Amino acid sequence: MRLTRSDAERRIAEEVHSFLSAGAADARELPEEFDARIAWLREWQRRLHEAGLVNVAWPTEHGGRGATLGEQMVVEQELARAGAPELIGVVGLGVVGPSIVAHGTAEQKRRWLPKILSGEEIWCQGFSEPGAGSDLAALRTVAEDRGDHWVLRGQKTWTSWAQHATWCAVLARTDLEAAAHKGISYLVADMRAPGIDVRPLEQLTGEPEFSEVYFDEVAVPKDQIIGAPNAGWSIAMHSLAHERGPAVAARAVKLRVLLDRLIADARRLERDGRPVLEDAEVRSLLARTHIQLEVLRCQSARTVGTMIAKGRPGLETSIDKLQLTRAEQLLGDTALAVLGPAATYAPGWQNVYLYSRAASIYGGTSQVQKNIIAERILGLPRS
Amino acid sequence: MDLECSDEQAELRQSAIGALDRLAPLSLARSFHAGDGEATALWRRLAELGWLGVGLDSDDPFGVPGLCLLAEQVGRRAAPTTLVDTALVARVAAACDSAQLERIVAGQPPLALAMLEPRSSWTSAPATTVTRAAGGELALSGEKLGVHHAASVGLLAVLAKLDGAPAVALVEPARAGVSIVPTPGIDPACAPCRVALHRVRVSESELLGGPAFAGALAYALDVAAVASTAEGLGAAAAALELAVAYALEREQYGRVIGGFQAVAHLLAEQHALRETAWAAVLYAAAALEERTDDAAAAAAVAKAHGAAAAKVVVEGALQAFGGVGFTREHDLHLVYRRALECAGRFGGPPEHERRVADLLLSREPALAGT
Repeated sequence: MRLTRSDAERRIAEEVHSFLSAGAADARELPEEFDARIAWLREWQRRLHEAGLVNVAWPTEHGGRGATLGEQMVVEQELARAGAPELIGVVGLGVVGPSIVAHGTAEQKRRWLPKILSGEEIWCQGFSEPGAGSDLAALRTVAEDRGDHWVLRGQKTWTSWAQHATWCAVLARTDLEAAAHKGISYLVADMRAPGIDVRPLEQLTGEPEFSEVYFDEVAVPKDQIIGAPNAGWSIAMHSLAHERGPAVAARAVKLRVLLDRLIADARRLERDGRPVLEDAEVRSLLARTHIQLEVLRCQSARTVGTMIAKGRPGLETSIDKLQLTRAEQLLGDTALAVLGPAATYAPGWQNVYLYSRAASIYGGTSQVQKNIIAERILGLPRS
Repeated sequence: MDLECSDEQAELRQSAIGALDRLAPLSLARSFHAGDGEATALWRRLAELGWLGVGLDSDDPFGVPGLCLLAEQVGRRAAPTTLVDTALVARVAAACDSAQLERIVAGQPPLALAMLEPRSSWTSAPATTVTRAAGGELALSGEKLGVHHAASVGLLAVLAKLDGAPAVALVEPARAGVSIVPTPGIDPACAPCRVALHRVRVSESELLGGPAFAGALAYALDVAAVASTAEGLGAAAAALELAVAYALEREQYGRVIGGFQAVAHLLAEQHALRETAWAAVLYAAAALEERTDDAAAAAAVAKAHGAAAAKVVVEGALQAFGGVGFTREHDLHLVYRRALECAGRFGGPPEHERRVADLLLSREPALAGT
């Protein structure tokens, strides 16, 4: 066990600090307006990559540094602690990219990974469909083999960043005769190709972060497949494990920053002439939120440790996801309860609360995570 | 941050499993429920194995995490020991440079911790007092509650006030003025007793005190709080394993009940809860070992979450069993009770949550590590 950082981890933390102190922007400068914010975020990732600080654990030949995952976590922690915004290329960096690193061809890695890092190309994830949410294997999007290319037909939904993406990782059925999990391929569609229609959806928070994506006879060249035809399911599971594992560790730091901000806001607040922070119930709520965030940090560190040891995320990422949900939703509840009207009648905290309700849905609902734990960790029969 | 056990720690855990499987099967805990429990042979063997000194020296390869790994195995079997109590007293004795340390760590004789009082919490200043008579003679008077195995150990470590400051007096249970009455307890395998002390004579060499005492006690209490959380989570893990095995075998409506999502999700939630709590214990133990700035806060987090989690897990396990879990015939209640006993020992979730709040909401919190 080791709580202190290694020399390499300390050095890379220093690097982040000097990058930030050299005039790097922080999230407080983020434009309010959605499209302006996207442009700002692209520029932010470009500069961060120029400084060599994006996904440092990726192989050097593809633009990373070949650093340890521990060092990558340190970079993400330090950026989050400084209030830096989430990277716009998060799907490429944290979900699809790791699967390209693990399963892509040399040519695919050369073609896609460097631009994922620089933010030049944003990726989205075409997994969920209107009829295939938790039951992802029920997906009906079809890729028909036309010899030198596939033709994609179907509809995806909850596709985050689709309207800004260059590429979409699409799960499509390539063998209609095979059993549900067996006939699926992991294809890569060019979002600029004819036949793709992106219709942004307004989220509960009011922002069009995700979209519906329609594929109407979209041609996909044969070299745009990750892994073998009909072997897409296990690669999709690999992507999702990354979404639940390392991505949770980064999210945990964001929540920490939010709790610190909540306490700072509460410190300035009085109710009935008394500081809100003197209220026993308020103190208890904040303490409980802190406890759940700390537990999340410890749990996530344990999972990342296992992942470093084994080289891949394991089933315990479902536990991380459940704990993330518990902590994030408690933080949202606590913000509303502690700040009261200052949250309900002002922008900011109400969106933190609203966004927290997505935590138990995205990346596999809490119910799906419990199925995974019950069946695959505890060995209970399929329900 | 790396929370993986070292090779030495993993070996310690394995040897603890081997030793306790032989020395402390659940039937030993059960014998205490029947009133004829006898654990001195177990205590002698654990002392010989060096368990009472685990993590005490700074060059020990096991550290506070090692103590927690032992406590977890104790909890899994609801074994009757004073392992964690002794660890607390040993740490105080070591910090106070007491000559008593050697015999405490050797388990000669085994020791019981007399700390809690009828009208106080674990962190209150003791009402029990050592008074100085005119001739310089010292006398100890007061009343203690929840003293595990007081009736069968050879030494009582009594927290008391001496010249206005806290100290520990080490006295034999047989000494004049000591009376010990076994009390009912939620976990009979802990053999809790009420100890009354009426002008018990104490010599200077039997006192642990001095300038280092207060800081040492605060630290040792944090170590004990985390180790007892580990013990409770060991009990919870055992309860959950029993429940999962039962859910795979018990049939209703023509199928095993573990195949019903309502039961499967109940057990999955308990598993997740236990794992997250264990992660917090490992972190707090490592933080205490390295004496990081956030060690006290980490201990409070681990205890507040871990104690509550252990209770929820054993309750969930009982629910999965249905009526069978509500009998004394089944082993479940042995570990169920240990989880509950550990949850409150060294302060329960409310106390530790208050500590977290005080640390969190002070102006310069030292809370979250890196």
